[in-house]
Amino acid sequence: MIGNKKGYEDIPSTFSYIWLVIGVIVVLILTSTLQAGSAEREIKGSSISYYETKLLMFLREPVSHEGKQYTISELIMEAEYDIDKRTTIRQRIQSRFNEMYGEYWSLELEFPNENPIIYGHSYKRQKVGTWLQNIMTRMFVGPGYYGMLPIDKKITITKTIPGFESNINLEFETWILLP
Amino acid sequence: MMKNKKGQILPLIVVLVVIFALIALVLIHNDKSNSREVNGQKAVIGMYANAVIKSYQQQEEALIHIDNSAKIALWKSIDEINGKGGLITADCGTSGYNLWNEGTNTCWPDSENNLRIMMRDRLGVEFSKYELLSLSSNHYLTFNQKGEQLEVVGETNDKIDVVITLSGDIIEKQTQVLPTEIPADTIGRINKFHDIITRTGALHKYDPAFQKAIITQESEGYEFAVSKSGCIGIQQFCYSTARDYFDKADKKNIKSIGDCAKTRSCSLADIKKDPRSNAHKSIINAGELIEDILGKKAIKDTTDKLAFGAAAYNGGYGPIRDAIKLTGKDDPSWEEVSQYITVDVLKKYSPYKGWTDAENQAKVIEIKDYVNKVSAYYVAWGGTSMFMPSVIGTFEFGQNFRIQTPYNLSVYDKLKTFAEETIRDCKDNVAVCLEEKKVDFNNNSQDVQILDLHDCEEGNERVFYDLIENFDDCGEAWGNNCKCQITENYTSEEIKNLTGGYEARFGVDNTPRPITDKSLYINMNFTTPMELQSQFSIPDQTFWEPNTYTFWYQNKKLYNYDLNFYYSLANKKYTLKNFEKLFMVVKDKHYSLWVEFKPGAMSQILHALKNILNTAPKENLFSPTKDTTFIKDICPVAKKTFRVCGKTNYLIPTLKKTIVKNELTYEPTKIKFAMTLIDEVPPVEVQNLEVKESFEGKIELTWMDKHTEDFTMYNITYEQKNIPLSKKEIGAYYEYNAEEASPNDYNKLYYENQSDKRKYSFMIKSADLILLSNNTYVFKVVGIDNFKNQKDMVQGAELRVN
Repeated sequence: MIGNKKGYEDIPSTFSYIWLVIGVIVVLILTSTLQAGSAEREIKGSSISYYETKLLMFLREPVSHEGKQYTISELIMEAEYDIDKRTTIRQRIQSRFNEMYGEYWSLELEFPNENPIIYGHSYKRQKVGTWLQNIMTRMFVGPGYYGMLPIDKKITITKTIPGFESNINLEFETWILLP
Repeated sequence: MMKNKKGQILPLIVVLVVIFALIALVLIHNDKSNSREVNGQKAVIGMYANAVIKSYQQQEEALIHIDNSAKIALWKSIDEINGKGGLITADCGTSGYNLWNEGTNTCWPDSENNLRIMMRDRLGVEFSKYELLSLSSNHYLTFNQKGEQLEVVGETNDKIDVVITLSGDIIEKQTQVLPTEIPADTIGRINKFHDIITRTGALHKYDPAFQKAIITQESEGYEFAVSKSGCIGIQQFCYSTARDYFDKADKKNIKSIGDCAKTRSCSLADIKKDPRSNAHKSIINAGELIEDILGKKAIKDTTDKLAFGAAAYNGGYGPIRDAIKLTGKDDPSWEEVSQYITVDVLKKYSPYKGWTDAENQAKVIEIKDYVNKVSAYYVAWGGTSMFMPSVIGTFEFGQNFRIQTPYNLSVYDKLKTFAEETIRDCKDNVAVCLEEKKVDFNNNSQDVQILDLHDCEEGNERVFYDLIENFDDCGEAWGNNCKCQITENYTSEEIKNLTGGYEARFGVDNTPRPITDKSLYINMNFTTPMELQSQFSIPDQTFWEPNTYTFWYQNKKLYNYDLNFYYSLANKKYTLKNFEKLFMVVKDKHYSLWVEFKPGAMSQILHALKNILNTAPKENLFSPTKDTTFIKDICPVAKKTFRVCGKTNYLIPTLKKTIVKNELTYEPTKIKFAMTLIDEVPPVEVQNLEVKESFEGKIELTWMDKHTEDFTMYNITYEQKNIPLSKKEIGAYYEYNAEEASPNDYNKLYYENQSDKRKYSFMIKSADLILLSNNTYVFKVVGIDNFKNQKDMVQGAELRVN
């Protein structure tokens, strides 16, 4: 009985501990979410710069087509009227972007008066990782870890290249904020 | 037990308090870190570095545009200059293709320099397509031939000066706001209201300098200022806005003064009655208006909100809100938003709905100008810049470029050599001579081949240039009672492939005078594929009454194979349908246009129009007789203008416009030019001329001659021996009619082929000639070529008449 009584007395303290644990978890989640949000803004900003720079550098990369040297942007520009060049462009984009971004990228190339050509992987409607997975990962790995940022928040970068009559539009999308 | 219970609850309370305290701490910390600002921008780690990187990116993007646009400009310039035969101005004339000579006068193209001039123009057009920065096209262009690649180096001292902002946008330096000096008297007038402006600003939570800037721009501080659009007072309240912001008592005295404002005839007394001319009331009410504008949802949280506020003050909130939305950004810059303030945006709102596009365009310019000026005045009144509050640095970059494309300017030198030799050498039988020269040239040339006009063009262009060629050639027709075909005989397949047709317009030009006193002009109009235009005249010919016959071609419209005629004197347009061919007819020393509705059934155009109209135009395109069904002779043509092109091996992209869509093609570029070749050499004398008379009174002449393309007719004469003045004409006989004659026909040429020569015979009844007995007559046969060249002195054949 005594044991039982002691047990009764311990029940509220036990609940308090449970509440404390729950509370700490809530604070951790809150802290991690808020910090992650803040970090995400910062990282997203710098990631856009990073990917934009990479895209511009890619457009300046030399590429060979039928024995002649071009830059990628030149080749895209000339592919407006020379369909053969589009094959080289596709191959180069697929290989370089897969190498740089894995599966998490797509690139839309829109020549004037034509339907857009889409390269890459279509993850636009997929959410990689559930919200629970994201939260758990944030909790245990830490908010500062870039890989834990919501993977479904894409980055879109648009660029134009001069076309014969009007500009050629490029739209690059990726879903990983930093490698 | 009670103590126990309290003891049980206490830990729980402590735990909860600790948790809430922790949460509060996290939230407060988070809020603080989020609200930290640098120069009006939310602070983010690495924001300066990002801005610098962003500026590098923008520079790189601009340089990509410069390089690639330069290449496009080069292609377009090559294509354009080649289409003009390397010439910018056609000093030797043009007839579809620019002439490289006119007789002995030559106009050789300075192709390199002309390409340079054209490319510089083109650079400006191509660079203007890059909207972010104003790229300079003031480059010095150097052409270097590197094998089969033409390298173009563009150098300019013009640099692009830009400022870097924290928002990441780069803005050209020249758009920075520099303080504008405000005249002292304006400052004095406005500062009279300094206190009320300051109080109003404080009440409505904006910088009073902003209101002063608006007043400076609106009225320069004049209380009774009236604008042309009827706005009044120091704040220039217009009628409808004033009725929204002035109080009830004042509203009844606010009158619309549109009419007198337009004519600047409003009386000062009337203006003074209007409460808008009360500076204090205007300033206070404007304060409320400014607060309303700056508090609008689309504006209130933006960095450049004062710029948007100024724009909305001038142009209304609606268009500015739309322009902000169109940028797709929550916090766009004024530079970005201003690009979306367009006529289309304005037209959605009053009063712009009822304005013309030109008026709205002027308003668009006014709004942008207004913001720039208010911003400058704002700085002058002590405010910071209304935009770009977060400038962190400046930089500049050059705009030089170096590009290459497969092309060789030396093809012009080759073509010039070809043309020089052809003009020098081809003095006889020019068409054949040119053909031989072409074959010779093409056999020895690798990178450029010379083609005939018909092969230089295709589709609509081919029809267009064929028409010019044929009109031009028919203008050189010199026979009589003959016809010259203007339209080509295209196959049905060729016609089907045409995406357009042509429209001809004709009538007297400008001044309404009788058509017989004026030249006739024709407009040939094409819808597609490109703006084809040509105008040329054929002098020294007697078309209608006197002087010049002008053809005028212009791209416009197509109706299959119909011809539309615009008769300017009647100001009406007529259509001839289903005609087969278009002819120029030379009859009795006059020229007129005819159509053939079906083979052989020709009709003079005005005559045909008369039937359509059922009314006879008073002025007739003079032709002595309407009946020409017997005109079957083909006019000899002294063809002296030859249009050719040098088709190179160098592929250049060109845009082909069709009805459906524009197509970019990648084809060898063609250098199009024309030459005039004058035949100065008469046909050689006929050989073995013999004449004999038979007992039946038949005189027969026979001779041998070599057949050439450059030959039209024989002129046959006779004269008494040793009495030159007794010369009499038997007649001129077209060579091609000989093909239809039989050996026994009188007054007709007949020939039989004998190896590489022809044996001609001509019979005439001696009774048709005036021949006296016991006299000797000399019969002469003189060949005449297409240029009317003939030998003066030839040997004749003698006939003794007993």
